[in-house]
Amino acid sequence: MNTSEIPTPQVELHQSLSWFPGSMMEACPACKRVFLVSSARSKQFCPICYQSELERQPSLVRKEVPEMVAPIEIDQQNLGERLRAFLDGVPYKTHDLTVENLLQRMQVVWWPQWLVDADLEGEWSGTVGFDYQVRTAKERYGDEGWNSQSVLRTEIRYEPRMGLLKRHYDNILVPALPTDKARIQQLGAYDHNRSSNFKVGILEQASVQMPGIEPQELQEVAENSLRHYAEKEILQATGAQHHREINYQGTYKNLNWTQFLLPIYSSYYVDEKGLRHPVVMNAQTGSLYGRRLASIKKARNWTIGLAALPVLVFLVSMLVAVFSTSNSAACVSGIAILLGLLSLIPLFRAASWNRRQEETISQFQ
Amino acid sequence: MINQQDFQEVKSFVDGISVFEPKPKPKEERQGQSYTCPQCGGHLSYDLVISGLACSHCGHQVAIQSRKIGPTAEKQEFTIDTMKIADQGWGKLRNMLHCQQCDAELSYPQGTVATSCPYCGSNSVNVSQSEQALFQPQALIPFTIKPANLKPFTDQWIHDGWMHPSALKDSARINNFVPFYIPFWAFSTQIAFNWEAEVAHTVTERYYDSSSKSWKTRTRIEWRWENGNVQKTYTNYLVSGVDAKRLNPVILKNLIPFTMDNLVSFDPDYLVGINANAYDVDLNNAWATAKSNIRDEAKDLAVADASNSNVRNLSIDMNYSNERWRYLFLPVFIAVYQFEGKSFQVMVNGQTGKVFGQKPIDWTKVWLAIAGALLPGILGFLLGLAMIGVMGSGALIMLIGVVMLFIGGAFSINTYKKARDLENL
Repeated sequence: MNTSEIPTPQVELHQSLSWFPGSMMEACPACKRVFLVSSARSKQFCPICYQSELERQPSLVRKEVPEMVAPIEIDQQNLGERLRAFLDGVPYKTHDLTVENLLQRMQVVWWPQWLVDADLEGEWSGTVGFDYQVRTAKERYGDEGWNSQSVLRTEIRYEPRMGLLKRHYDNILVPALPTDKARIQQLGAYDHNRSSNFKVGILEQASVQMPGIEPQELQEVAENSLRHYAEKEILQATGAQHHREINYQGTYKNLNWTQFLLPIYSSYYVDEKGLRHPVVMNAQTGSLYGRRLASIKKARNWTIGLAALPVLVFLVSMLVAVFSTSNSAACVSGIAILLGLLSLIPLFRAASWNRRQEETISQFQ
Repeated sequence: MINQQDFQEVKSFVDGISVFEPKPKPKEERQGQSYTCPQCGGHLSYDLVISGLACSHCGHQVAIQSRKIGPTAEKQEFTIDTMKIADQGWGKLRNMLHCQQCDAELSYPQGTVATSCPYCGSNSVNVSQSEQALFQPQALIPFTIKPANLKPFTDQWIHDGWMHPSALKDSARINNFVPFYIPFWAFSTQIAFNWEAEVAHTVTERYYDSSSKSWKTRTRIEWRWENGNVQKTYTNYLVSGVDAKRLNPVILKNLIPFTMDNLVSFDPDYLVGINANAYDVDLNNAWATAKSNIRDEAKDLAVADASNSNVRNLSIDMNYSNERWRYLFLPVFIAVYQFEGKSFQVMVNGQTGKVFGQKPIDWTKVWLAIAGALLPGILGFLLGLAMIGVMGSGALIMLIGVVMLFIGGAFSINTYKKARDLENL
């Protein structure tokens, strides 16, 4: 595939990339994702789809630098244990699908979300709800007549409120990839409260996926996120516990965009048709995602092995039946047929497992 | 921009965000007021004929500006604060009233909130002057029956019924009706309960009788467990706020219903010159009474929900929701009339004209009626008996006599009970 088909992100030319020294920009011709990779990882397979080798892109880098990261919390030992647990229970595993292979091919990939800082100034109004308690009764009638028990019930009183807002908001998250939501669903949520400041050097030997949506396209999304955050604070300011609606009307000024990088461990295995399948892990929580395919070839071998004896017994019993008047030979052949049918179980099991994997595990986004 | 006229700033829990809430409606100052005629300086009082204030001296009339609020008028909840206040004894009765005009300290029967000063004639409405705070009435139904129109209602009532002395219709003079605002607690709530009970079912079965060596049919009761769920909404369930010792609760209960569509917001002007009782049954006790009645009704509802009314081992789990209360003044005319040296209390619903009260019972009439009811049966029975003795036939007449005796007995018991209830009213 020609590299010109790869969408070039709208970025500014920089003399040097101080936050990822020695990196180069490469893209996947198959999935069109763009990465900054360390020189050691250059020309490798795309660490997300593994369908094609990365190809060099012009040295264009973003002006928005990474500001924060979600630290990697799964170490190498933990990684092995989790992979072992992940592969447990896969019937007739593909020859290449082993913990050792996955560990050997494992690499760290950082993927981005936007962090937006902004000043908000304007008016708000809304209807907020306050909890209060009323005294009520639970009554029970039985053999001993009525028994009344006084209980407290919490109810909500909604009242109108309005006011002014003048706040600076830091690091409001905005998706930087079109597949952000799907990826979070596949990998599980990251705990942003455990994030730390970005430090040069943290990306060593890693790849960094570049944002797929530009800040100028995200103005409305960013404003919605900021408004949502402001509305949460407005509710807090009122001291209310519930709200029906809160509307902020005002300005969004001094928007500043930086990147928030989230880590994944990415690896792959090759199935018996030679296709690569990614196995990815949320490097903060250890949650794994990927299709674990069974080997149909292995299952077929098992079926042939198990079917050999019943077939032999069947043939012998048929010969005996020809030269004998006894009914026992017919019985033996019947049992042989039954055993022969049971020997198909490995093949059915493997096929059914693979079908279920393909139905429930979609392609990693 | 924030409308500072309608909103006021309150504490914010986040810097940089100001919070404004609606200003509370200014509470009406219900100071004791002197109602003086702007024309002649005489005293104004509420005139039932014009449904407004009128000067007793020059006849000057002043309309009352009150807001009709109807059945959807604001209701209160059983919040912790309200109940604490009720527990702490709000609603204690006042004994001392103070006249705004002449500063006289007046000792009045407990519960009086509006009266006329006997010294200066001032109509001083002392709603806010009690030493211990009372819940203020939230609404009232103004009198719509004029005193002059009471006679047809009371005449009709006095003529009703045959158990009373004939002289009552001629000699009883019920013309001293006093208009009174009676305090009522109006409760609204929803109940929902699950019930479970054994319900009797009559089962017909065939069995083999070995003695007669034949198949026969018999019926027996089979108890089957049933359960169900019932919901009911109560709106403006009225409980009197007056102690039963002071006003006959049975009479009061018989004056209900009142039409809540005509509720108006409380205005002291309505009480000028008209007696009004503060409640002496407080909110907690009134709610307990209402709940007790609701519980009784719940049992009936559960039985009605079963496939038949013959039930045993009934159990109910009941919850209340949306409990609300209102404190209302409802219009009643009260009169006491004399008959043969005894006093009898009569009340008229000041909105609908419904009359109920005590009436003397003429026991001679009652016993005669009972005797008259029983006599045909007794005679028929005796006649039948005699005919059997003399002629050998007469069983049919005796049977008719027994049936008539039963009918007469039922009538007699009912008449006696009714007479006793009316006398004990």
